[in-house]
Amino acid sequence: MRTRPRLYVSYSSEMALLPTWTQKIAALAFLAFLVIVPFGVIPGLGFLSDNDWLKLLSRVAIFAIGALGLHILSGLAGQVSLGQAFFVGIGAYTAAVLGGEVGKSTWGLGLPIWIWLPAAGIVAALVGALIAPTAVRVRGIYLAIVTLGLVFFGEWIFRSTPFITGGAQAGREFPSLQFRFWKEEVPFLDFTTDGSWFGISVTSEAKTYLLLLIFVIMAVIITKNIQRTRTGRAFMAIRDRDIAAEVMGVAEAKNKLIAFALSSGFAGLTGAILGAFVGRLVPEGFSLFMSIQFVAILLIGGIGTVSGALLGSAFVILLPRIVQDFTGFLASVAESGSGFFSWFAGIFVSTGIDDPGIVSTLPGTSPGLNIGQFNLFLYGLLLIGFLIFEPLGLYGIWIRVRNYWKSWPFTY
Amino acid sequence: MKKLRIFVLVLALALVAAACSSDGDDTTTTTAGGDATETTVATETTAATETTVATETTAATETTVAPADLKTDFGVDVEAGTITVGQTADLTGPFAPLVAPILAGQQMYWAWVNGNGGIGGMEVLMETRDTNYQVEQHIAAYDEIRDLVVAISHTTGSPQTLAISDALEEDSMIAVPATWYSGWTDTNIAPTVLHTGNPYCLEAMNGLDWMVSVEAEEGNDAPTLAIASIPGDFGFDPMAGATMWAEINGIEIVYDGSGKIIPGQDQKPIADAIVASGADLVYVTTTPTTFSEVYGAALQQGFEAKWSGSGPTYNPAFLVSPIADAIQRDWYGTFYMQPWGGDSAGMALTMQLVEASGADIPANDYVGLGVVEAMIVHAALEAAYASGDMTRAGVLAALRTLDNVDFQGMAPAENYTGSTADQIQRSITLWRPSVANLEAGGSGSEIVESDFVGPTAESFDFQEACFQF
Amino acid sequence: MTLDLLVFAQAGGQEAVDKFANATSSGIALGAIYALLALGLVLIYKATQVLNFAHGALAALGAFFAAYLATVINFPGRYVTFLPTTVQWILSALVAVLITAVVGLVLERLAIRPMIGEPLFSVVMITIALDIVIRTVTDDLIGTNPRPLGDPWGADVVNIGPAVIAKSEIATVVVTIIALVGLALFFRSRYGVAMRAVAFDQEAAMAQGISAGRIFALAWAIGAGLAATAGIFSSLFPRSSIGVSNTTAFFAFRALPAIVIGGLDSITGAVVGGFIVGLAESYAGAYLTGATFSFLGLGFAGVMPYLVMLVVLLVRPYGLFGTEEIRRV
Repeated sequence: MRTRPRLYVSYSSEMALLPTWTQKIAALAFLAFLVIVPFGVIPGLGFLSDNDWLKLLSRVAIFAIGALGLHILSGLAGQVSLGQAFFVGIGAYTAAVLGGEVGKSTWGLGLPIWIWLPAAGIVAALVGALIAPTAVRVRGIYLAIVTLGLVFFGEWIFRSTPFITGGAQAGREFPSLQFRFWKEEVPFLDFTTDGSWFGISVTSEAKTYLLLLIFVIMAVIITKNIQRTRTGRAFMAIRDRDIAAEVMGVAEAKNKLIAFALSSGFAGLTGAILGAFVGRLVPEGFSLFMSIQFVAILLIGGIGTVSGALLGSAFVILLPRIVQDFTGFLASVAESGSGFFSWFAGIFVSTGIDDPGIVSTLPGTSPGLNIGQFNLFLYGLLLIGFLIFEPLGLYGIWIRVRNYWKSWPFTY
Repeated sequence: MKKLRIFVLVLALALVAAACSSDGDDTTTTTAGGDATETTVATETTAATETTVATETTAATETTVAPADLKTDFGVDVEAGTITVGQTADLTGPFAPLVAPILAGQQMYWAWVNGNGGIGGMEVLMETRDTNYQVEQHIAAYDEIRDLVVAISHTTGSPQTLAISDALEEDSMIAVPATWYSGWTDTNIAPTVLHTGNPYCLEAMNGLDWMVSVEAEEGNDAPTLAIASIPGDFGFDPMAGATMWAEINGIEIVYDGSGKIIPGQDQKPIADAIVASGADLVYVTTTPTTFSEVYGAALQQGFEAKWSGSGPTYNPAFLVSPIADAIQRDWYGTFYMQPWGGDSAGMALTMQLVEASGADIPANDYVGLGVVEAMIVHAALEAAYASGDMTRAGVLAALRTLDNVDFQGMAPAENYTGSTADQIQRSITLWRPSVANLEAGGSGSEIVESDFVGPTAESFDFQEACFQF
Repeated sequence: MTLDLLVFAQAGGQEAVDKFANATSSGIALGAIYALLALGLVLIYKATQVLNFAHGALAALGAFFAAYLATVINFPGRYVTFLPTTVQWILSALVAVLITAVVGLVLERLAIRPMIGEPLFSVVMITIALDIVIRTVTDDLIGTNPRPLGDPWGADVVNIGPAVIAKSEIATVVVTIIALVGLALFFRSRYGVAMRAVAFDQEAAMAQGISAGRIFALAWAIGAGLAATAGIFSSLFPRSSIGVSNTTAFFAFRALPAIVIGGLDSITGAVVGGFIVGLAESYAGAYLTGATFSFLGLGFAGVMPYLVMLVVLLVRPYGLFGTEEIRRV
């Protein structure tokens, strides 16, 4: 009985990150699973070690960091923000200027990663703190519009400073994930080339994935720890009732400023890593769509929880790929056979000009939405579905499943 | 609500199953309990058996044709008798309206190739990914297909293509871009990205050469020029061409709006500046929507001049819009190949393909472009097949032996050998917008001259990209 | 104003007058479209406390319907031939507005009604999700090429004093005035009073026998109709001569500052805000350009509305005409 969920015998056990042994073991097992993913030894999931899947998983990790940042601001402190993309951009360009090489028309100092990566977070956090006083003045929907304005403001700044961003529709190179002591020729840790670690050969994709995994774990621990400190509790008090919090002595403006700064800092780190991961970005990338993506991650995953932010990132980033594969699979079913499944798939996909369907596998000629449009369409529908039917998101579904099995075979 | 939840669960499981099975691994899905599992497994097994059957039959017929000693690595499956070419295409972004007909053209062409025995008896398949015209998505899309394909027969957008050019080079992957950035001809920039037709900067010279000769016929020997464009190489490359042209011909640029057209904003200030400059010639490079805003606002103030711009600036919808009459009067069109319904054998083939496909495609100049793109890859693949090496490096090597890729007259022949100066394409098709042509079932582009080379474009010493980042 | 005078003094005389007249007239035309968009947004917000981020998508959808009815189906002309072309086009535009209103009704019932009372974040997000869905479908409907609307005004212009004004711009302003007057009259009608009651106190209104659900539906229908109207008039010469395209939907984001400036729940505020934003953008485009202002970078006019919005918010956090929210514990 000592390790039943929600049975706490001491304050410190209630505050522990993983209160029960079951949770400790599960977390460790999951971590071990994530670590061995790139080596392709997991039966049935070997495809995850393919380079394209590793890159997708790395992308999940990158977006998870930004989503954790938004989780602090929106999930904990309850402030609606559509401006996350702006801070991602600030971080990315800080990293580019500090760590990038001098281009034909772009600045770059070529400093090592241990300078540009933290700096990206710090600069973005400072910008966030700078903007916070204005944002604190407005609340609710007004705040949503102000932060939205921030994105347009960012787009204007980014396209007007070609010496930093490389200019609109052109972009610039970003520093790569290489660890150097200073500006020496050969990095002591290089994530851009294949190599071998402890006698096991690892591809650059696998290396990058493992590095990003470490980053995410660090981000998770930081977020979890913020959550259980005085500041975290202040955030939640403001979220639940701001005036009540103030009456109780929680300084609203100060804590909102901290929340903005922390959230922007995470976003900045995301930007720096994203730039390094992708290699080249154009200023248009830091658009409203990116902001929406972060909000969608939180809402699909389940707002207010760290697991939700992680689950949501995985879902939102992997969705297009899964839809792509699923559609391709349906198309092959529809084309190659007869019978019920083929008939069913045929309704869904359009594989020829005369074949009506929801998704067209031949963009341009056959009717229906093309695969890109279908992805967006499904993305929107899923968001609506989650918001209406499962406001707690994937995390809520998980809780439901867990509760079901906890008392199985009894209903109560 | 509960039912819906179950439905979502089943859907999610089905998606997972699809993700696993498409990878070709013999996998069993992770069981999650409930009756949902049964259906998923059922789907999977059916699919598995069906695909194997299909593969076996094709393989049986094809292996006799394809030589056993053909060297292959990615995207060519001699056993299955398939060759896969990839497309990283903007299906949902700003250039989606142009990309759809391009892909339609490619589909028709490859279907025709396959119908005529394919390449060495192997069937050509297409693998398309959406990029939304976003650099980041473009890179992700390429990562997704790079190990599945032997060549990229279409990649949308210059910054996007540039962003994957290092990866393309690393993979020895040839790629046909649907952009005419002069850097593609430059052998020092993106050596595996191929040029198609006249690059933007020479196009600008050709177009201006043409307009200035018309202007001279009308008795104006010293016309003035205004230029404007969106930022990025799509805008800056033609602007560099126009600026050099003005310098060479001693013509004054009265307004320089290079990179000043920002999509999604009010374009009236640009139009005002063009009107205020009183230019006789205007060269604009932007998206059709923003062009219609700039042009409309200038027209509103009664501005009259000769307008031209890079190919993608124009859209046939202009001819059914309120600006139809004015655009007929003002627009001097240039295009990298013959527009829809041209008189060449290649265009006749394209028309035949469109008709055979039965697709309801509005007359559009970009269908032919899709065919041209596919023809380049086709030529490279045929050459590689003939050499017995269909690895990606083999295809690249084979392509680099082709000094005269012929498009049956629908586009000027291309040379992919030798230096930058050898490879440069100087010839372009001149056309004028025509409502009559449109009403007769054409695309509204009336050809004035195919294979036009203006005096400035002719003598221009092209050694490197006109514009570099 | 000092800036204008300065320019006036420098350039001297007629040219400066022309420039100012031109900037003003195009600012008013632009402001009229913003006002139309803002009216719909404010109406929906007032009644249901939902800020509709799908407004632009609905506008594009409405413009597509109008283009399809007028140019493909040839809607009234197919059945009746005696009507003048202007009347025919107005009829097809009206039908397009009605169809979009029905779409708004359906959206409200399916997606918005279940969300009433949910946290703000979720409500904002659901309209963003609706935007993605509607925009994708609209893009697919529009198809390969942009679709011109086939309006009777074409590229015709009239000279009013020093300003050259397109007839379609005059039509836009007229329609905005009609919409404003119509809404003012509506709020005096039975349903209008009911809507005001629901907006003021939902429970009290329901106790009086007003069906809040019906009011929500009505607000969304009218709001979507206004969005369609704005979409149609933003797809005309000279704003977008090529008609409705896959970028039309993004236009609505430019109207968001207008409703914040005016106050989210004020009809008057929407119109005033719309014109303020239109004029600010137009003047910024006309005067803050050239070498002198090159430090402002590229496309400064586009962020001008947001700057004005920020200034207004710092002075009046609930907009010029908005009701101040009373915060209670």
